[in-house]
Amino acid sequence: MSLLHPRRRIDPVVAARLRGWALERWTIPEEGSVSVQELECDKPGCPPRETVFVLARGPGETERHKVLKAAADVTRDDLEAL
Amino acid sequence: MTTTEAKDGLVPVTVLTGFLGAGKTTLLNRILTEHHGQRIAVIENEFGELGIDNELVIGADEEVFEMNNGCICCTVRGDLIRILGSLMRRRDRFDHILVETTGMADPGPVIQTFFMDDEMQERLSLDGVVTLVDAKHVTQHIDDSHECQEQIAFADVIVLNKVDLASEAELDALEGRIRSMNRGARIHRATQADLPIDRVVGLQAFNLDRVLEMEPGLMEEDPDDHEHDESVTSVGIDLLGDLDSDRLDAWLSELLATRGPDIFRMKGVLSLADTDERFVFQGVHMLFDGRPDRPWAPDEERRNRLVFIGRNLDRDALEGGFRACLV
Repeated sequence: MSLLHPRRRIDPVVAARLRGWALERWTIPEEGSVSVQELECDKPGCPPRETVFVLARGPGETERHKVLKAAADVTRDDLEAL
Repeated sequence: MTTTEAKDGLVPVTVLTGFLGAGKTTLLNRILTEHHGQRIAVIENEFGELGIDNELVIGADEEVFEMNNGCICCTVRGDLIRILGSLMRRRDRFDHILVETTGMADPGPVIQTFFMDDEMQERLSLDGVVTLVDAKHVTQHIDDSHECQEQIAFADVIVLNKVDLASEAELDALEGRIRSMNRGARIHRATQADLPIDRVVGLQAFNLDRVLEMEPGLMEEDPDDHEHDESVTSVGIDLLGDLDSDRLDAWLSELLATRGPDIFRMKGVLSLADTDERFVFQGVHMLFDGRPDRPWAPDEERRNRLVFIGRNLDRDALEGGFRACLV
């Protein structure tokens, strides 16, 4: 991971697609929110990229789910398998 | 009227922090009731949602959780992700967002929430961290309260409040102490949090274009720094010359991986050997944000200027490590 290059961001189209799938996969109330983030790591034993779904349903009701793939490679089946 | 709208139509966000009794609520009430022309949505540590003079006030629960992998250890605020997501669906109702933290809160997770989340970065712009300090009573906490120290360390603006309760000598000593902890912050003295609103909003402190608009004296070494090794200090580095990108990348990566939790904020401008453009950066703990800036002017000294604010900072190690990256 190079610090001197801009942090890799999820393509907005990909992010919107993943948020849409997340809203179908999990029950999120209207006042809740889904955040999709991609973490990068170059340490041995770590996946180079992982996609994290943060489901913020309400006060004290935040949970995370991870897919050990880059955001662009995550499929609907990956979410169903979580 | 104070103009706070960030560039590109992003909604500016101010983080208001400060120890218990420092005057956050007083300042908040001033911001909400003064006629400055801005509609401000407030996220505060109270339950419920209510309108004050058509303002939007939403309760938060300071729910902190970690976003970790092998390389990054980052703590974010789950409640902010939820509330800001919900708030942005009512974007037409406000011009500016203010996040008030509790007196015992660490501002780090609030800031890291904005750095971590791509969608937030596309729609919101962190404007600055404002820390209220009780000029009379802060000395009771400043030496042993990590929260108090971190609130000062993260600040872009420090409002030294209740100055009517302290003597001039006490204020000077306190200001010196605060400056040794955070040389990058502007300090304003106030009574009953009474100061112009443009001192606390519209700062654009996290805008990379303004990274170098640092306070005078930021880079000067404090001869007393070594007396506060266990505390929060600022370390400024100012070196002429070009940097080897690979070495710098390796050094910075290792520094953040091993010392990131102790580095609250950092920022600076660098001269990389393989480019004619300046490189500007800033960071919060392990999160780093940088990009090429404008070209160096023909008559401009290619000077590296950077500052770290953190706990247990080793000035010699930082400067030695950085110097070793010069070509």
